[in-house]
Amino acid sequence: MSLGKRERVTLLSLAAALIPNGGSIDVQVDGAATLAFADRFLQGTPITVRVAVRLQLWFLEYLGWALIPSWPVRFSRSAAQKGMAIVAAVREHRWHLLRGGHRLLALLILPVYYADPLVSDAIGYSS
Amino acid sequence: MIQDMSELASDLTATADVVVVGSGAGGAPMAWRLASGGLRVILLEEGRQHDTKERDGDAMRATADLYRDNGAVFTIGSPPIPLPLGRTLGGTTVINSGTCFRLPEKVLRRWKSDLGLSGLEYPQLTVLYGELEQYLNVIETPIELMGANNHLFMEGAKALGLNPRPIRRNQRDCMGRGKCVFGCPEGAKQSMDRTFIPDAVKAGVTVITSARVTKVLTDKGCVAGVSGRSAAGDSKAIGFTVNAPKVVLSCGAVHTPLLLLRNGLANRSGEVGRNLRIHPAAKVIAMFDEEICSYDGVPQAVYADDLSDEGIMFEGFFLPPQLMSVALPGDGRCLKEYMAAYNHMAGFGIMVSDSSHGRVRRGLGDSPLLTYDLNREDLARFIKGIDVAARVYLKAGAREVLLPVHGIPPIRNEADLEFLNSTRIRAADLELTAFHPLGTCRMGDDARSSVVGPSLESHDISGLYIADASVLPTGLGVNPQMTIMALSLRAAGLILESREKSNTGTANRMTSAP
Repeated sequence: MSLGKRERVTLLSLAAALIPNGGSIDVQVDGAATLAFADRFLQGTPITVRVAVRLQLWFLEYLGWALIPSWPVRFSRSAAQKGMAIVAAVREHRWHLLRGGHRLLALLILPVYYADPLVSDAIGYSS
Repeated sequence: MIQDMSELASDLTATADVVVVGSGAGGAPMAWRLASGGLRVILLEEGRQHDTKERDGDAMRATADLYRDNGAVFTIGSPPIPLPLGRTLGGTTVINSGTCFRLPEKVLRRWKSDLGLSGLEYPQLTVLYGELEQYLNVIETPIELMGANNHLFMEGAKALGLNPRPIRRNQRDCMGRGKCVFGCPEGAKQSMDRTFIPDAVKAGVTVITSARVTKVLTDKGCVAGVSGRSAAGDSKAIGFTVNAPKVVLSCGAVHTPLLLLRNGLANRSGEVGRNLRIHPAAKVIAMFDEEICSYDGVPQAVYADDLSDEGIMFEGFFLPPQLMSVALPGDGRCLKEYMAAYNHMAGFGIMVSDSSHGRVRRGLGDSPLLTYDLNREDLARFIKGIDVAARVYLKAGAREVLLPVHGIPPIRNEADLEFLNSTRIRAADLELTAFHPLGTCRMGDDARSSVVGPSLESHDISGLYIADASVLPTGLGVNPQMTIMALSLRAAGLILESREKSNTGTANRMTSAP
């Protein structure tokens, strides 16, 4: 099962919020690698995980604004600042299922970035 | 002979004296012992064989190749807990840390006194442990392989009055590359694919990989074999049937009960899938001023069992950056800055011998549904364990300690820890992982409250045995692989004894590892 077009856009927007440009590690997110990994990951996971990923993406995209709170705005079309605020609100939310879903999405994004040899070099990790 | 289902052109039908399902710590020793005793044995494994040439210690490739469901197995409840399981020839022994403990004698005493388990004697287990430790080369982790992470913990623990000790591991010529949980690239870890399985093949066992068992066959109340289909992922979906008068299920504490529930078997007690224990674990991450490169050396090299009477155990852990990034609290710029200081990080785990229990049910499709809620008693154990581990790192000179508790800021001194103890923390606030599912087909004398007897044979179906972590009635408080192997060898011995009553006997001793 691959992600749909809208879900891909949301996932990349989330990647931009989870891994903002700049800072001590000056390497940008590789969007194509992130999407390829997400597709590979989802193909090998049980249906419950696939459903949870899609629900969390849907929630983030269409209802994330309600956590800030703010005027209704699609996550992928929100300004960077607002996107980060939504992500922080999901991460810190009292409902552990929402937080769990957030960690599941982080599992699709963060490992790809930190597996990048440029990032390994930047943090001084040699396997 | 080892054959993969993907190599077959048509359906397979075979006959054996015993068919063993699952090649981990339960199945592999069982297959070896029975074949050495003269039985015709077929060993089925759902995963593929991945020898060391295919392993480079890459976390993401290993997760896809060696872990079930890409490592995305979770319990649902408060809190949701990831439960990584192996799915490869050798089972979870390929992806564990190689940590070897004997069953604490007090646990066996409790099984006898509280659960009325008889027929399992510690002296007999001691002999089996001794043989296993020799065969698997279980030795204390040499001090030079421990790495800075474990040394720092030892230093802090001693300053706090604890008694940390080196962990005993099954390894030969370990180089301390720190990749144990991604399949040792050197083949130093003496997992089942390096030990019992090659020896089982030498003893005549036929191993079939990529074989997913879906049905346990029965005939007039006795077991008659198993059938299933290829798990190789191709569209051919080749099927197989193995006819055998004895079936040993060693699929682990999640998939053995799932198979029984799907087949409606061995569950007159109603206990199949219940009583799930998982040894939940939390991690404490410490940031040091100096560079320590915790990934160098054996990640799980040291333990401290000073609080084991309270069900709390401390064991080393560390992860490569790909997975550490997911394990750290926070994200965005804050996470990036923590990751930039990856070489300054240390980490230790707190494992709880849980009194909480969950359940394995049939889920959507082929997957299990695991439910588990952490109770207040175990929550209190975690808070105490986290407090102690944080103090250990502060004593060792950490500038900041990150706790696995939602809403608790980084700790910079002992006074900050008051916040941990004064805040009302819910189970849902903890970030946990679990590694040892146990107890879902518990053994016991009473057929009304257990699934198998002390011989590991089902109370309900003649010839059906279960040899894996699911038979352990409670949490052990220590890593269970040695106990699973010992119980499996014991059960295999009993199967052979019962056969020898009608035939001539065959002596069995373990040969040295290849």
